[in-house]
Amino acid sequence: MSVTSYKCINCDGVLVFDAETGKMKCEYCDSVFETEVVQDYEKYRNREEKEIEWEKKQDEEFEANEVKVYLCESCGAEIIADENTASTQCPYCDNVTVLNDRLSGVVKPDLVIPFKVTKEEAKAKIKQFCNGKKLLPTGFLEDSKIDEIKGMYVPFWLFSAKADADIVYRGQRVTSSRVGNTETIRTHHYMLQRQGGLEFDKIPVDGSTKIDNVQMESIEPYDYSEAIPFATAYLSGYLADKYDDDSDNCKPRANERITNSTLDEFRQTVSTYANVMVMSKEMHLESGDIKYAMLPVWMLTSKWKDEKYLYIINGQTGKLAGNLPVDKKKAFAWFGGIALALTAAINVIVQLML
Amino acid sequence: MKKNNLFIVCLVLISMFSFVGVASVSAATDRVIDDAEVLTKTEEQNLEARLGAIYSDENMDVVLVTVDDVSDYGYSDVEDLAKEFYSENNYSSDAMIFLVSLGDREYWTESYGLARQVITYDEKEDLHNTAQSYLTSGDYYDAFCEYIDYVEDEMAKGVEAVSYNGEVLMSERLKTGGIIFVVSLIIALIVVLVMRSSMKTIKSQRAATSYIVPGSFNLRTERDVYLYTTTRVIRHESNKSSGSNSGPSGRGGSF
Repeated sequence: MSVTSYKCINCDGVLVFDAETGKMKCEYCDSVFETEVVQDYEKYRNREEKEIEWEKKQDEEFEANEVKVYLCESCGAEIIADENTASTQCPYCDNVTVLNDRLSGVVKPDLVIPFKVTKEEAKAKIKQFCNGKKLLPTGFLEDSKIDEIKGMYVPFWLFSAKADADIVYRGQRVTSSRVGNTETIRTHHYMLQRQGGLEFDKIPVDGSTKIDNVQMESIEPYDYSEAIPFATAYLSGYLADKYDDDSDNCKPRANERITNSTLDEFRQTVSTYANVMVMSKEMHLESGDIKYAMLPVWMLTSKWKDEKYLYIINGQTGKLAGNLPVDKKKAFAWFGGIALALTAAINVIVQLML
Repeated sequence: MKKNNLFIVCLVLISMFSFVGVASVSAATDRVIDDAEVLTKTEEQNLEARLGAIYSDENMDVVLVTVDDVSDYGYSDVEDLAKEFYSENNYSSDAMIFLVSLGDREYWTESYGLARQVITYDEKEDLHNTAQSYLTSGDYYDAFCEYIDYVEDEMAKGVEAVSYNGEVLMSERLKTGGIIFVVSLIIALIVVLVMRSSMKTIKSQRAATSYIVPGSFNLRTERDVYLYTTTRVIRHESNKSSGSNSGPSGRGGSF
């Protein structure tokens, strides 16, 4: 026969039933709890977290001769173009691409957001970004071959779902009173349970291993109200990358963002408590839906001292992301100049004050 | 780059000169101001020589001032006039002003910087007792000599006790300069890091807040269960006034 033992909520010591009070009492710290509260707390203390699950997406592939696939022999990127657009250089590494006869397993996207930002506007964005950067190496912008900026559709998996969560927190409310020199601080401990849901629409996770997720997340968000069913005609004049990171691989990233957002939203409901900590959480998704989409991106790869610098611009909103190289000599000169100027200025002020 | 180098050299020079400025704050003007004309030329020169020696040894200005009446200078008491003498003249940050007003038959000693620490309020009492009998009898030169003797003795004792000699003074100033330099380095580093961060716009998205369907958040259950209370008692020490060595900066009397 198994005997159920309960642990103290305060110190994890053993709780025993006190017949006199009808409550559970800790033998170690003397805390006293209502029996129902202890049973309720135990339910959530050791609750196991479940993985968020998604429904399997049915893929539809391109038909033969609908698009051409180019292969970059340097980085292995597989670039898709319509019949009338030729890809001679890889947009990721600038190396020469070759036509790949094998057109098997190229999945057709569900959605596409057409380009709104023109090439000239994209070039202007990069110039504007470099403008006024004191630590930029001299001649970097001139060497960047800005005219070679390429418009490309990047494959994305768009995750939509209704998230349902049951989160249990530990929280505190602190009161204090003072009589003479004696201050009494009382900390009231609570278990806070919140159940509810919220809906996410099309969280993008890029399906290309050639581009870092962080880079693509830097140019978010896209406005999906302008997303339309994919048609090959939208590829005309642009290149498209074939996804090489399937939706299963991208799910953990989507789950992580959904979990963080859900926790953020729920956290606001316990904001009146101090030292709030998640005690246990259970989340599951309803109507989990994954769409494959092509999103427009302008890309420019620049080289500086054997290092490659990739600039990407959201082809719909014009938002730019990229890391510029830093000229160490200029950085040191600015550092020294500012330090010396400040030293001189502060010394003069100190001298005037004395 | 040549322009940059020239700019940096200029800044280095400015910075160095500004340090020199802090290290030797001032070269004093006259230290004996005998507006009441109670001293002979020789007495004035003797006093000047002794006060010059104190400045050389201790980097401290001791200033002796006689006036006919404080009201001639637009003041109503000797303390204000003594302070005015200090602020209007380019004396060292460590200084003592001894002002005697013949018409009012009052005197005042005002001290600044290290002088204030070395010669305390109580010691000023001794100082005045020493000089007062000479002032009363109208022997101003001897009163000033006694005053200087006392200051020299106390400075010698004070320097030993507090270790405020010239080297300490210099090290204090170098320390101040060092702090200023380190603060400047930290500020410069922050500025350069801000400039550098503006060149990096690639940032990860922690959450998916932009993709939450507006108005979709619904809270079905909101249950707050009280568990227990812990109590902590703190006994505060009653506030006792902490000792301070910054007493009054001046003291005076009548003769």
